[in-house]
Amino acid sequence: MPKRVLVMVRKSPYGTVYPAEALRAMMGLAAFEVKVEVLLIHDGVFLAVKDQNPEGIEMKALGAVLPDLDEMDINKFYVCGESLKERNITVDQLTVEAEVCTPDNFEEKLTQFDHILPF
Amino acid sequence: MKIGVMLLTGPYQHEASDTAYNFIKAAIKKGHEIVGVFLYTDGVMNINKNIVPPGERNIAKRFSELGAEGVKVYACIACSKFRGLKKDMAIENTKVVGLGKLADFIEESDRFITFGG
Repeated sequence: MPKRVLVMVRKSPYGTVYPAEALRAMMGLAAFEVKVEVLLIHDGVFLAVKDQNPEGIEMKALGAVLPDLDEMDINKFYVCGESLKERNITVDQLTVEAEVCTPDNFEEKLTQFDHILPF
Repeated sequence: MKIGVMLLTGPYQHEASDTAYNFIKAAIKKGHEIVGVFLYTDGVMNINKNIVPPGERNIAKRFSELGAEGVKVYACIACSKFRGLKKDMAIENTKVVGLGKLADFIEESDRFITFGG
């Protein structure tokens, strides 16, 4: 049975390479039949915000990549509701549909994954 | 237990390389099996054979020693390209490989632990 893996994005999309590499890891693992789901938490919620325009820093808009992950069967996204609230972001501002979690109900969900990869 | 390891930070800047190494040594001593160490992002720089730390522990050599003991120490090829780490710069007993090996380690391990980041 393929392993069920949660890729946890904790950092904002630009500033460090981690969110970009989290995306690359998601795609790479999915290509090798690992079942990948995604959690955006803390500044990681910024990854999914619509209309990113990082051309000025010669980067690609990472948020626009998330909907395309569906082609690789990556389509289950979780987002931390507290993190959204702290940053004044609403779910309709995100590029993908995501299940909003609270720190309380997520604890139980985490135990359902075989492995968690924090980025 | 079968344990997979990923290391995300380079040598010396952060302690993660040391912690990963000490964790692996301790796990093996306790009878656990390390299915592999995957070096991702700056982690690939840990196996640069040109590392010469004046008067300090040699982190590349440590990973080479783990490799000699049979632990797979693999660095991501794309991350290596980004950082100018050529295949012939990898210290002996380590390898530069594709992301498929990370998928293998994940599939083979009971627990998968990430250091750094």
